[in-house]
Parts: sequence; C-alpha cells; structure tokens
Amino acid sequence: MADKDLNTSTLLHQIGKEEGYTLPENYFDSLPKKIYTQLNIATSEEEEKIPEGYFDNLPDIVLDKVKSSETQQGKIVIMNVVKKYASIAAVITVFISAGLWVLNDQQTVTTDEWTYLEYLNENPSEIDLHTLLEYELINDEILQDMDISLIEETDMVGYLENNLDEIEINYLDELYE
Amino acid sequence: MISNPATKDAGFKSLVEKYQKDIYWHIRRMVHHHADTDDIIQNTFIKVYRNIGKFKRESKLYTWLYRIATNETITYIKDLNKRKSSGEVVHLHEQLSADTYFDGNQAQLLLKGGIDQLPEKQRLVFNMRYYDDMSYADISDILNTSIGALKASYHHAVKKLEKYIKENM
Repeated sequence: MADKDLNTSTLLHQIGKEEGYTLPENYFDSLPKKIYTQLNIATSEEEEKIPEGYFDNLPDIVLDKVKSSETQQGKIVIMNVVKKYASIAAVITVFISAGLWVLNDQQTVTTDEWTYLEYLNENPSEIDLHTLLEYELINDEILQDMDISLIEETDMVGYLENNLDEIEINYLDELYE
Repeated sequence: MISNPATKDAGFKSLVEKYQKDIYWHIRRMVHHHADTDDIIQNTFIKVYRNIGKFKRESKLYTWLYRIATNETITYIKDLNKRKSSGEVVHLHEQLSADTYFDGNQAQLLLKGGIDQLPEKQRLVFNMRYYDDMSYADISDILNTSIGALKASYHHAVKKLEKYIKENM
C-alpha cells in the first residue's frame, strides 16, 4: 500500500527498501536473554539446567544431611522425630527427583519452583503432606517406574500418615541400594 | 496471558520473541547505529514488562509496543542532543559509513541522510509507512495523530526526500 503512495517518487523507487544495516551474528537469539537477565526472569536455558549427575548424588546428599543432623542433636530425645523426617526426606527425595524430572521434561519448572524444591530437600522438616499434594509429587506411576517395592500402597498419603513412626532408618539404605 | 501474574513471565517471553525484530528495526531506522538500538530496545522491553498492567485493551498490543519504543527512542535522541554542548542537532546517520554494522551503498546512505533531515513526526510516519508497510490506522494509534494528518505528513516527507536526494546526488 505504501508503494502506491510512492508511484510519483521514482527516486525512492530506484534506491529501494534495502537499507544496508547489518547485525552481530545471532543477535536476535541473544537479545531476549539480555532482557530477561535485567528483569530477573529465568531464561529457558536456566529452567532446563540441572547440574550433571544431580539426581545420582541427591540421595547421598540428603542422607548425609540427615545423619549429620542426627549426630548433632540429642539422639534419644529426638530419635523419633529424626526417623520421621528422615523417612519422609527419603521418600520426598525420590518424589522430588522424579517430580522435577517430569516437570522439567515438560519445561514447566520455574526458577522459583526449583529453588523451593531444593529448599525442601535441604530442610526436610518443612515438608508436609500438603506440600506433597500441592506439588503432585506423589504419583503411582512414578513409584511403579522406580520399582519401589517397599511402598505398594496406592494411597501414599494414607500410607505415610499411618506408618511414619514404623519406618526404620534402615529403610533409607534399602531405598537407595 | 501477560496480564495474568501467574503467566506474566511466560507471556512476556512470547511477546519479546514475537516482536523483537519489528521493534528493533523500528528503533534502528531512527538511530541508525546498532549499539544505540541495542540499548534502546532493552530499555523498551524492560519498560513494557514493568508497565504491562497499564496496557489498555482498546489498542493493539503491538501498537502499544511501538508507542513505547518510539517514546524511548525520542527520549534517547533528545538526551544525545542535550549532551551536545554546541547546541547543534545530532544527525545520527553522519557516522553511519564508519559503522561496523552498516554495509549500505551511497544511495542508501543518501536516503538515510534525507530521512534524518525530516521533522520527527514525518520521519516516524515515513519509516513506518514506507519500510514497515504499516496501515495509517495503526500509525494513528501509535502516534496519536489523525489519519488525515498522517497522510499529509507522509506526502510532505516523500516530497522533501525527493528534493534532498536530487540536491545531494
């Protein structure tokens, strides 16, 4: 349409619409990242980024933290509490690992979620059943895929509620063998 | 999507990826240099993100983006002029031939020089109409100017450019 206005302008037509501007290579690939960085918005690369071997090492890291916590605090007095949270932590770790993997595969993990779930891994006492449900970390399919034969109940929430005190600390070792 | 806090970031990313090229070229035609354009486009999208709540749905999202980009560019050029102690107006195309990111010929350089001589509104209208093939209705929305006035501006711009080119060939 603009050209129609320019029928009388032979000179402009001769010069044409090429402008001679050039750009740094891949500029439009890098520009969004520069903008998101200034706004503290996670880039897709960051969302997908999980440290190499993270899921292999995570159970050991959590176990070390639990054992360290057990050593530092009065063993007898808080043994039940430690057992309770250690057991939850072990289960949660599996769920979180699996849950994150599933979420990440769908590219829907945000930095905030990732940070929160990492926080939960480091602070198992903060984990409750509500969180499990909210983040949909309990999933029968995941459990079956991971072949956790010790936990066969279909109602994982009910199972956890009824059996927290029954789960022995040794269970952790079995789980990660 | 972008006005919903839960999906704001994802919506914003879609918007950046969809419009970054259009907005880039709109700014580049005003300031000519890539480095300046790079600064302005980042400021533009940062402003878009921070002001997305003010977006009124009666206008198109992309005309709202163009409006912000236009204002950012005008402010940038005014700041450049203010920094000139001599008070003379900065003609950004003057250093273009030495710019790493320009490989145009003399005719293209001449046209850029002519566009730079135009009054601000004529320059904007010419760029959006001639290079972007934008409708007068959308330009009217961006510049908040009547379609009749825009048509007149475009006509004057073309005439002035022809004259400039003839005189400087």
